[in-house]
Amino acid sequence: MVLGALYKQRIRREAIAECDREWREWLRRKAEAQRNGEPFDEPSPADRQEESRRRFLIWRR
Amino acid sequence: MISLDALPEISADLYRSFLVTYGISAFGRMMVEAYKQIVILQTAWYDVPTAAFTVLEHGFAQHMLLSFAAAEVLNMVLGALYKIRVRQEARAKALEENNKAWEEWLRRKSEAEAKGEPFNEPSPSEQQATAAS
Repeated sequence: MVLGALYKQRIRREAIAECDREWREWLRRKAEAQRNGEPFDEPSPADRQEESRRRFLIWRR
Repeated sequence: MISLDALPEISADLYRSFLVTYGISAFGRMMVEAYKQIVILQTAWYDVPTAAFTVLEHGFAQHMLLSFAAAEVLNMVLGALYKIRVRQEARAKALEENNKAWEEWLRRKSEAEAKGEPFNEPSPSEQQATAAS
């Protein structure tokens, strides 16, 4: 039980760190595009993750 | 240096290797017993009932060992499947919560920028770093 909780905590921490990195990168690219006056239509990390989840569910069906 | 995070993984690996070794040794012992009966003792036909009883006697212990090994192998497989499921669920939940926090923060930031107000709220990752330290 304790090991399971520790494992979950570690997975959670890793997932959050990965997600934060993606968001920071996306914000950086967005700010850069705005500075250069370029259009920015890249989907946000949340949309990308949702899209990949949907694709996985379709593939699994 | 081994971090505390790695301890569950290490103990699980040690336990797994112990079970595999134990299973192999049980199988080896069973093979040795069979070899003794067939080759070394050269059991005669009139000794078959006695031999059968001896094998049964040994067989019980071997059966226990083998069932233990089989149960532990099954346990390993089910454990691995459970671990995968736990990982997927924990990950999905963490990502969902974190994405929500980032979207909310981004919305507040855009609103403040649209109104021309200063926005100095730390991002979710900075908030977590502050909370962790």
